[in-house]
Amino acid sequence: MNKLRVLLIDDEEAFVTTLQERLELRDIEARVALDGQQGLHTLTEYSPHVVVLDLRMPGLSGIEVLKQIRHQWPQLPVIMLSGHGSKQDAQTCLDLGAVQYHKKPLDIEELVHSLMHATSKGW
Amino acid sequence: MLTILVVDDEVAFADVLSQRLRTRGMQVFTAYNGHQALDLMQAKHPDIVLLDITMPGPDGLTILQTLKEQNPITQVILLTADSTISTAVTGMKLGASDYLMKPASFDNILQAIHEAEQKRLNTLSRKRMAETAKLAALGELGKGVAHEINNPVHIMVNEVGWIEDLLEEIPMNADTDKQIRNSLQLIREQATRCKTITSKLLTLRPATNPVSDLHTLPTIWDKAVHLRANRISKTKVTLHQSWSQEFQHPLWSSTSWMQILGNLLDNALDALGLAGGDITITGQRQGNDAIVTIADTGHGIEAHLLTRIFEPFFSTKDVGQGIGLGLAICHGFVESMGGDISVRSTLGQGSVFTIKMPLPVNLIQKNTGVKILTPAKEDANE
Repeated sequence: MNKLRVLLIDDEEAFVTTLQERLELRDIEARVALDGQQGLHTLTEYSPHVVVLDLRMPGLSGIEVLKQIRHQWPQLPVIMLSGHGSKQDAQTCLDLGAVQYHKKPLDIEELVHSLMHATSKGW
Repeated sequence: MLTILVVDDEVAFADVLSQRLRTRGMQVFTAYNGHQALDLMQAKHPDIVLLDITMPGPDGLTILQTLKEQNPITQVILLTADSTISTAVTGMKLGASDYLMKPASFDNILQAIHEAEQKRLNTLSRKRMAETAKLAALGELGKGVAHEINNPVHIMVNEVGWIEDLLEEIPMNADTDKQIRNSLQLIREQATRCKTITSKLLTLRPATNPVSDLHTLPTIWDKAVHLRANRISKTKVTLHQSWSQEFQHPLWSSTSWMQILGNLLDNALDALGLAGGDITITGQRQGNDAIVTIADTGHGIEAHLLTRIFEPFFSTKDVGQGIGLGLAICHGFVESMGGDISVRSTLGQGSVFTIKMPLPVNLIQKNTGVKILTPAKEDANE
């Protein structure tokens, strides 16, 4: 059976590479992009089942990346991560079509649950 | 109501002037020498002081200097009998807003009071603007610090999770495994503490739109209560409120008052604990000040701690329970708006926090405080 493929877009390298390993330990294939631009680029060649996207990044912000993903891959579920987001940020993301909004620090089991949930619904 | 302090060693003059000002609806205190003047200034915080320069004891200029150091917003009108212009000039340099030669007509005195009051209100609103700007800068700083701390904290928590994952994979002696897990749990708890502090710092952001930020104080209180509805529903707390009409005008900064009332409410809820009790908020007008009190029937605060509770990072709650920023934030916001906050407490009976704050300037101008100063028909000379 094919593994679930996740694209992680987050500029905090130490955070995201550990997250990648933790997901792989749970039999989820993850690839890392360290900014929005790289994320959008990786999307075309990697075609993940789901994207995990940080809200605050230098360059393209999470919101802008989310908009572009919605535009080009309207079916692709996106889970947002935020370090210090307000309720308003959460609402904006959900309005723009994100399927979930998680606050850091992140509970890995919750994230895995969201990933499963997002993909079973959308795919 | 405008509060005036008349200072003159000529008792008859001082008494007559005080009485006539009272008939114009002002609250007037009278001092016959410098010492009395200094005491009354401390106790009554007059808006405007009518000050004779030549007096036994501390003279007018000395009092002026002390007063301006203590409360730069209070306006001082100098009364001088001697015609030496140099004394008056010195007085103006020391911050007096006007000077009148004796004998001065009552009309002239009223006119000077009127102008001084305008000046005081302008100074007050300029000061508030400057403080708002300071607060905005502080908010930005807090936000920056919060973000800079949050990222490493998230990384730490994530790494803790990773180590826990690895523990699942690698078989280990049960004792060692337990010790490592305990340490990891501690790290996680401490990270959560950091997170609590940074989220407090993030709430210090100032209002983005100062106009839409203005609401009535009862609305702001209701919102603060609503945000804590979950917590309140779990305790046996009864909330009471009473407001005079000044508080029903939408002239109160929501951002600042949400911080002040929210933190005081949290504090009251902490004091009541699960046992519950009553929390009562009242708003009344006292002269040109708003007096807001929040009383709880909780465990009270020990006397020797009362002076310290507004210090940042001072907390009487158990480590990890309170971070000691709530009341410090309250204090900061109240001071930045030109007010002060105090507390009275009886162990086992509860605490009352009292905020005294200048009324919003628009409210004062809407009211009679200034209007009574329109030029008088009376033409008597003192």
